[in-house]
Amino acid sequence: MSGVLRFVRLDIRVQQATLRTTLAVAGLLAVLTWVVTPLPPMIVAICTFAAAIVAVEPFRADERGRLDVLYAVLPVGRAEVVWGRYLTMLGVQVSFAAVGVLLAVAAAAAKAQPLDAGLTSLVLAAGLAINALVLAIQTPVLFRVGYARARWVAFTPIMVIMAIVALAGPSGLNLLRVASALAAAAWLPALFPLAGLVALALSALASARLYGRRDL
Amino acid sequence: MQVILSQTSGIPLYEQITEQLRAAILRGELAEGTQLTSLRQLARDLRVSLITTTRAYNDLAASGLIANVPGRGSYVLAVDREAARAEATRALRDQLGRAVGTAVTAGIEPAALHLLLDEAWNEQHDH
Amino acid sequence: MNNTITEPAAIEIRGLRKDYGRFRLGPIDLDLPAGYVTGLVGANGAGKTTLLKSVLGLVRPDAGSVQQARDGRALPGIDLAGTGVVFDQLTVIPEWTARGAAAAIAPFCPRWDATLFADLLERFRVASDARIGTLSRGEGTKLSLALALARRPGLLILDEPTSGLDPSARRDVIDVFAEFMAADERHTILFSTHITSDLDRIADHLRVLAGGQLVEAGPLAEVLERYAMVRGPSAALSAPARAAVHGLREVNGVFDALVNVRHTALFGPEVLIEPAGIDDLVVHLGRTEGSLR
Repeated sequence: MSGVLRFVRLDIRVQQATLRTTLAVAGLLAVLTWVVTPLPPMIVAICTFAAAIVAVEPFRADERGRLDVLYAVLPVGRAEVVWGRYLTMLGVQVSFAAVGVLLAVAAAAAKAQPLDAGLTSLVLAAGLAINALVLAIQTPVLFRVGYARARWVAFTPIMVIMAIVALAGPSGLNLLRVASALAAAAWLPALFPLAGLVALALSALASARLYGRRDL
Repeated sequence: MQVILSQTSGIPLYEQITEQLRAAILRGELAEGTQLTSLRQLARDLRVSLITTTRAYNDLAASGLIANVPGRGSYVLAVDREAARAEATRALRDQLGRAVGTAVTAGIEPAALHLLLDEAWNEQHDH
Repeated sequence: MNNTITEPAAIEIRGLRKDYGRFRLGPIDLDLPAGYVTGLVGANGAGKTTLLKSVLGLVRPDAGSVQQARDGRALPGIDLAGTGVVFDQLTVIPEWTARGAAAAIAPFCPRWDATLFADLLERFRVASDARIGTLSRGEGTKLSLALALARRPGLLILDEPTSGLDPSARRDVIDVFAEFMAADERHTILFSTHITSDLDRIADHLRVLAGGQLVEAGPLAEVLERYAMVRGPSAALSAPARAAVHGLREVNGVFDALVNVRHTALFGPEVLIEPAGIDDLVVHLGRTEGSLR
């Protein structure tokens, strides 16, 4: 476990160095989407979506700095690198979501409206779950072949979101109606993130296997 | 005493080390019982490989000039003046033999050869 | 081919094989003698980097084993905590500073010596707060070396550490290697390079790779003494001589080649016979002409 935590500290340093790019991308997305759907609970969705987009950044940094080789010559196992990276990714997702919630509260206050707690928590849960799904899909690919050969993987969040929207119905309003109905069941929002965590854990196991066999 | 190596003389590095240390010992500059720089330290000082310094010290030990004591170091032995003189005499015989051969081939007289010897001696002793 | 050494091996490679389709490494049996500097040479594409990566565990070999003597036993793989590695390309983020890179790496290295790192940076004249992306090639390599040495390793594995360095920088780097070797009798260096003049002085042992195979191994002086360079008019080259040489080159009726000293009798007085250098071995053993060893 200590190896994993040591790697998390290293990973944070790695991502700190490229933080500016990450925040710029996230900020831009946030602004664009806010223009489209200025509903306070949707801010949470925007923030979690932004988090999904920037999830590839650590892998891009790895590629630029040839850090995979660095990790390999340090006394840390490949599995520890993988689990550590998943932990930092989880941390980033949760941070973005938390910021989204804070911003939603602030936006509601600015509009002098009460925040729809049920809808917000549902959006939060769904956002985290969708992100978990996105990461669960794209991360093993990134670990297996690296960022340069898997750039297409960065489109995964968009594709997943579009797939869900397509499945849910022709208009966003339909989605909201369904969501409001679901929001009534208070325990449901807790289920999504849990499923997401399970997906991530399985994904981590797969990544550890793939990364462990990778020739660097 | 300092060993100074030439990169361009064509003489192998280990041989240069051996010769310079041998000369210092025979001159008395390195007294009996003096501990020589360790193999590794010398390799580092001269920027040569460990095998080079090892070979140099082994050759010196084979000539009876030093003793390599495992785990302790290398020490200068008492100079056996007789043996040193005998070995130098042998080396000189070889070298002079070759010099005579060259002279005969070129048709140079013994008197001219003696002159060359005096010249060479004076040149060295001027320094 | 004589691969036996009387000293204990720091690393033992047996039957190592890695197949990349067009390029195949091995099977290779190689001993890295403990306490000495071993130079690994060979033309581009001969397999030096693949070999080093296999030893470090960066690539998984298709067959064979790599063992290291640790705690008095032969254990599989390399103890990375006690190994310093320098590649010819930096493995740090350009946005980091030198100090930042050290801070990132230090927690993984139980024997990290911050004072040594600072001293080396000062000696190499690399500013500790310089952004790595702004460093020159030479400064980058020196930083990599400082990062590797500050780990206080017992084993240094270097892949082309001096390529791209000007002669002054190369001198500085070689000096540091010499000090590393003097510091402890168990310190070992494996040093792959094109710049064979670096090896001429400080390498104790030589390993020559050509076409994915180990074609020569042994103490440096001994290996060089096994060969001679022959040069002369092509007309002077008899058929048995032609068959005996390695890497024959003929230009305008003049030939040059590498030959085993056993075969120098095959050449007449018009042929110049001279000692071979490391470069000669790399150039001529790499070619496939000439079958006798």
